[in-house]
Amino acid sequence: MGKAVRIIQYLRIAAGTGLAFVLFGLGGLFLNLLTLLIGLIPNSFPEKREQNIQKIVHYSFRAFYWYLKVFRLINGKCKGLERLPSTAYIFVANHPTLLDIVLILAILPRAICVVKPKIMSSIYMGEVARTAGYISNEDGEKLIDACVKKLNQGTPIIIFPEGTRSLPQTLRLFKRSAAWIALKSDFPIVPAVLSITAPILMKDWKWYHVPPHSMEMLVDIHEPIILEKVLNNPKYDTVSARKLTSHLQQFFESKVIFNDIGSNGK
Amino acid sequence: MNKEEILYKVEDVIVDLLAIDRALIKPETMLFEDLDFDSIDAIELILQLEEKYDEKISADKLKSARTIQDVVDCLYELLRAREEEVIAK
Repeated sequence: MGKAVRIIQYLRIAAGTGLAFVLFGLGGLFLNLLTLLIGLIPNSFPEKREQNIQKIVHYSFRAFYWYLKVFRLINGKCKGLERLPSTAYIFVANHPTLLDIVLILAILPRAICVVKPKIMSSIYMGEVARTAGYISNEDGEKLIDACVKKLNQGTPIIIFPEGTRSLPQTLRLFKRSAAWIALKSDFPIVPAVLSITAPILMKDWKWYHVPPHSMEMLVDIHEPIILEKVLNNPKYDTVSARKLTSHLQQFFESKVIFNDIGSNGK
Repeated sequence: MNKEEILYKVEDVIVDLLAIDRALIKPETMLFEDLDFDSIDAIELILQLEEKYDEKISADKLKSARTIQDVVDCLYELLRAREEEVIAK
């Protein structure tokens, strides 16, 4: 490829990514405003309101993903959608880039995320996150109880067990929240392995650190984990939570594909 | 009850909780760094200690405990306060 073509390619992707940030910010502000307005309408069914906001988030992220695809910034693929249980579930995924949640929320019609406390108070996402029923990971015990309650109401939960974005060439040590929730609630863990072909928006990366070509992102949804197959006698206790988390970590480490990321674009 | 007895009981609970060998733990063992405790493990520890001592233990009091010895010291203070209360009555 000629140098000029490479420069044009870079500029296209950098400009597209920059515009994506602007759209994300404006879209977030608009959604926050919309959520505030919806909150003014008297409603005696808060669960219904949560579900409506979850749907709005889903369609907004689908629209945002459409932008990313049309501008050839991301080409997303999803495998194993048919494996999602008909009941609520704990969707556990690795977190290679800031953009993976866009694809996940565009795929899952109704789900809530476990998020950092600063997202709950963010001017861009806070109102939406709170009204949609998202759960802060600030307090371990409250987090487990809140997730179990949501699962019992039929709402799937998305958890990134690394707690933050993955490292370029390896996974971080998994936290045990997903295991505690599964052991307490008896709802299935659905492992979703995310792989990207080029690095973009990893932890501490600037928006203009973009790959020289479009990125492919694969969301590979695997069979739900049956606790009895992993643990002899699954119980809500420390030993079971540690064994289940260790199983999850090994499972993801055996499935994630690291495509020589970490050097390109930055 | 002296601190040695409390230490033995705390070690019992931790050995049970984590299914590990007693030889792996010492008074100076760090709960979060060495034993990889998370906040739910800490609550499980408190619940099991409460059961063992039939005593309500405030999570806040144990929050600052970093080592097994810290847990022992905290329990010792708690039990001594209870004894003093009983004597005063």
